[in-house]
Amino acid sequence: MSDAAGSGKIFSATPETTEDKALREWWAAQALGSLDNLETAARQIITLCTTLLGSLLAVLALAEDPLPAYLAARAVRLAGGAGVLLLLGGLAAALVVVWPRRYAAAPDLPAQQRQAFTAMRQFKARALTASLALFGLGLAALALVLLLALRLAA
Amino acid sequence: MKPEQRLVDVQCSECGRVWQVDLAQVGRDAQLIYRGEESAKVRVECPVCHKYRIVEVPQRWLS
Repeated sequence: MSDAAGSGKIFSATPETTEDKALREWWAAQALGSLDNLETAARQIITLCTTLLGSLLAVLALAEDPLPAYLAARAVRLAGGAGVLLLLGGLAAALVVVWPRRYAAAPDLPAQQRQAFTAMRQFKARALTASLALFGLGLAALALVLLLALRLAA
Repeated sequence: MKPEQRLVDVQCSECGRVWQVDLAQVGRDAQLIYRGEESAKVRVECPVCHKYRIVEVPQRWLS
């Protein structure tokens, strides 16, 4: 090989190996399927957030009269409130992932379509990351409420 | 390395067409598939037969 590019040397381009071709096609399929994967994950988070919110509200038992004794503890009220807010935030962020938005791309301009696709994927990925973080924190808050409730009820 | 020095002439083994590949486009129009200590393999698409080809260039030519 010569020392500098553009020196006039012609490089021979060889065919792809079967493995390279298979890998390229697999990655292309993954890239195109990523939107579906993101939305599937968001729907899973929506289900989980809804279920955990139900569990958290059941533990907090706000409709009961009189209120459970452990609700007198400030830590339980704080962790419970934080858990509800975090899970609702996670639910909202997951809904943003699956909520339809308008993206414009000319049908005869692949570069513009690619740009719109990338924007769509980045937006959904960011919303899903936020949703996952909020869901994780909400889950931790729920665990804390459960532990505190068990400890105070004993 | 100046941008104009990143152009390399590549010949397709299928149709024989010679065209220029801009190594600055690696990661966009061309895909890097292997980067060794001495050389790098880049996947490019022939503009005539539209088949994907692999071209090996010195690693230091890539940014």
